[in-house]
Amino acid sequence: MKSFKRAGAKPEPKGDPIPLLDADGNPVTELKRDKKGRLVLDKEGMPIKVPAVKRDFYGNPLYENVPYTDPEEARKTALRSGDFAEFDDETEAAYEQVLRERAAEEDSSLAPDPDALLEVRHLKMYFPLKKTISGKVTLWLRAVDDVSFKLHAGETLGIVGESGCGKTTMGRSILKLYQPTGGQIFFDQTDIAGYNSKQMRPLRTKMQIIFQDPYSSLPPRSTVGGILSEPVLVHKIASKQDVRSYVLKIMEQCGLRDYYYERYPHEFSGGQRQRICIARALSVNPKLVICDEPVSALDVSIQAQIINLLKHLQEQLGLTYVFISHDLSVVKHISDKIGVMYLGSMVEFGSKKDIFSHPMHPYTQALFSAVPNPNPDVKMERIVLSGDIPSPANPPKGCKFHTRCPKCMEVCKHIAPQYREYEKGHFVACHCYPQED
Amino acid sequence: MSNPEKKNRHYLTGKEIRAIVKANNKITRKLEKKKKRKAKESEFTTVMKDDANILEVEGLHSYFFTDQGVVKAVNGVSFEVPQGKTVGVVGESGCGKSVTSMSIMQLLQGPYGQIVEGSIRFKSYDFKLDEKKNPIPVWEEDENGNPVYEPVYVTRGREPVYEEVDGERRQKRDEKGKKVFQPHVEPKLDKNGNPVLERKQKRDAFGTKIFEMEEKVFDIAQMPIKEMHRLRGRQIAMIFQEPMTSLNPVFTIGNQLDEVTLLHFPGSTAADAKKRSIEMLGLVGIAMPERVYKSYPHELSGGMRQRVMISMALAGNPRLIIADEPTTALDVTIQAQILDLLRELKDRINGSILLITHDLGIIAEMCDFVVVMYAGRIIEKGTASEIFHHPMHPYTIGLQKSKPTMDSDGDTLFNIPGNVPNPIDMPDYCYFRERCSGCVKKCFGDYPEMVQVSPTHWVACHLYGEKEEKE
Repeated sequence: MKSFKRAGAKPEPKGDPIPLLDADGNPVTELKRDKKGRLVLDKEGMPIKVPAVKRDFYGNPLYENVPYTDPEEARKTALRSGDFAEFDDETEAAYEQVLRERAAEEDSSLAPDPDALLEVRHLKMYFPLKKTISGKVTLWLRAVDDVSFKLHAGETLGIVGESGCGKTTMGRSILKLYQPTGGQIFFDQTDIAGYNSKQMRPLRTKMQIIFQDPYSSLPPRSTVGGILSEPVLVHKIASKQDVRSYVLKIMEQCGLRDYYYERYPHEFSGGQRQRICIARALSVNPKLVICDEPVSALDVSIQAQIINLLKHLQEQLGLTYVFISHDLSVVKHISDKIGVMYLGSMVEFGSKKDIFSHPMHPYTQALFSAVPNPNPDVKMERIVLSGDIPSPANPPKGCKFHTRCPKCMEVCKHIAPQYREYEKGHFVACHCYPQED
Repeated sequence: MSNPEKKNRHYLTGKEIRAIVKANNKITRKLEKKKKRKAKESEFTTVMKDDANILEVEGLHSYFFTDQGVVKAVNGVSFEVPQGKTVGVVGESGCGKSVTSMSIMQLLQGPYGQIVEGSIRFKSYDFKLDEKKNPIPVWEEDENGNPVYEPVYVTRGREPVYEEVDGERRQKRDEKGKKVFQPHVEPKLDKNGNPVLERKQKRDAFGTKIFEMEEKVFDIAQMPIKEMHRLRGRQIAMIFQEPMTSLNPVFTIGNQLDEVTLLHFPGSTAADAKKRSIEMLGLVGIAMPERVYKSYPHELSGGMRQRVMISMALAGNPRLIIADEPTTALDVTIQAQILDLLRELKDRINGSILLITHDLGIIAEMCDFVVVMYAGRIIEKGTASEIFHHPMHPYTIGLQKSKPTMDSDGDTLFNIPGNVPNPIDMPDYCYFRERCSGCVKKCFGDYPEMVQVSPTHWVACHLYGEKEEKE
């Protein structure tokens, strides 16, 4: 099983070497040699005698043929008995890769959900870290590793997780700001994962992004009017004569005064700049807006203004949001559905009610208990996770969370859990819950 | 000046700027001179108003003298930190939280930033000095009260470390396969070949030498900058906001940690410092202190770096820790770890913490007393339960309502309209008037005084001042 490294290759069965026998059936001895054929000597300088083995034409030892065991069968036996003593992690990793590829292939032929505005299937975004001289990548950074979800029009999906878990990368690869390594992204029932930048251009009016830092995401040399009218002119939404009145209407919607039109971004405070960013995203009438931590850089009292504005605009224009944030209380306030990410994978996904009333994954439970409660009399029982988030370039084997999990079992260290639906619309990837055979 | 928009922009002519710079220079030169003067200790020693306090800040004014005008970053702030308690300072960014903490350490960037007025009284526990200004050691004594002597050891070169493997004596190797050496230690001998003896000094649990201590009260606002080294690091330690930028990238963690011990504990050797540093790293819950000791800051994660910062703050045995947004740059799960650690360590060293943050959740969890600041002034202070259950100032009430919590529903959040007034020309009426929902006629008058509502609860608002007068 050790030699089974390449994904999809059948394992070569190997047993013990076949001993060499003479005509009477007695074992023959030979002198021990190293790989280069030199004699191996003992301490006294004498050659060592070892039992001889049968060799092929090239001098490689021949092995007894052992009956072929199906790795899938072996895996199931080990899972049932709970005996992982001789479990081969490398084989398991390769096997899982095969399973996942097979699942992705099966799903890819399915038709997209007609109700969903955005459907993401097995999305992968890998970045090359190390390359050999010939250009072959030897180490991948798996920023997003197999994420799937569905989002209906007019809903808000909140994505939470620690920094470095791939939230932002996922948001950007949905918008095709990165070219995804694998998977499918259905926007309005069309798969856009393979689109190039030219094909994407008409779609840019339908999906927009609001960036985290309003101080660095506005061009300092153009006025607010210039910033807001550029996308309108590029996409030919309004003519040159009408662009001013069109932009002023958008600005009014976002709570910006009309005399801001001639001003420059540096004249505004953080909250006002974020309003400009929102106005810029809305100026092309998008259906989907990806909000990448829009309130993290703002003060508490300004945060409330921006959150209220986003909710108000959603009611008015029927927008769909993907709201990325590490602040759980903000996500809870704004979202209809919540996805919890850990190390590039979605560990739990479901409606806000389901996730907050009974979080199933141990990571979600720990995350919720870690949020400070602004009530000095309530002492929360807190699950403190030990250690740090592992590197996504070298994720732990088995379940990625097992190094920090308070409920870690033996099976978690070897086999990655399946991402399964336990209640309607509530997906969890954890071994604490029954797995499919 | 007829155009109101132009007035809002604070446009200044060159002439006006030159006049401001001239006036600023006059003041800052005087204040810088005061900071650099040579002063006797009696000039800056005072007494505490209440002996249970470790820090008393009274009427503190810290200004920044910029070319656009004077920014009154801290404008008359008074509060106390009792011994063994945690005091939290909350407020929006730019309200003077950090400048207050910097003033306590006298770290304001001169000549622009200056403490102009007020007093910061700190009860320090300093070394007792003899006539030659040397600290007086505490000697070890045997049962009869006679002095104990110990031989003096010197290190001479290095020697290999051996280990037994399969009955074979071999030189030890580390993980990388490098041979391991240790310093060769031998007793110092005099001319006749007898070991030199020295009086044995008492040591604490970390092996650091103990000296006689005494309690003194210093007024930090009056202290010359050269005397501040007696307090910085040793008495008051600071944990900065960004662990990523507060550690020096070109030195190892060990090098930076040892410096604290070598500076603040007289008579400690490099070996003592290393031992203490590794103990300190273990104290803050770092799993492999020896390995972290040798590594550089870029090799550690954010949470680990913040732990190193905390261990550095603790290495000097401080009585007061100023934590300036210690968890803002960290994730929720790591934040929970760090807060648990701070709480546990505070009890262990019996110190006090001044916690500066904008997160009300952290304040509620950690603090005994809360100070709410707005635009350079304290608007409300009291115990944590008073501030959270009976907030009185409209700003405190608004701040609590505007933060979504885990228990709240998805209703519209309360938002405080408007922005903080421009710090260069603050109005003479209540700074919060323009954003306040409960304005009364009196608000158009002077800035409200602090009103005492209960023995521990103070608020600066006209709404409550009137009530008091009526009764």
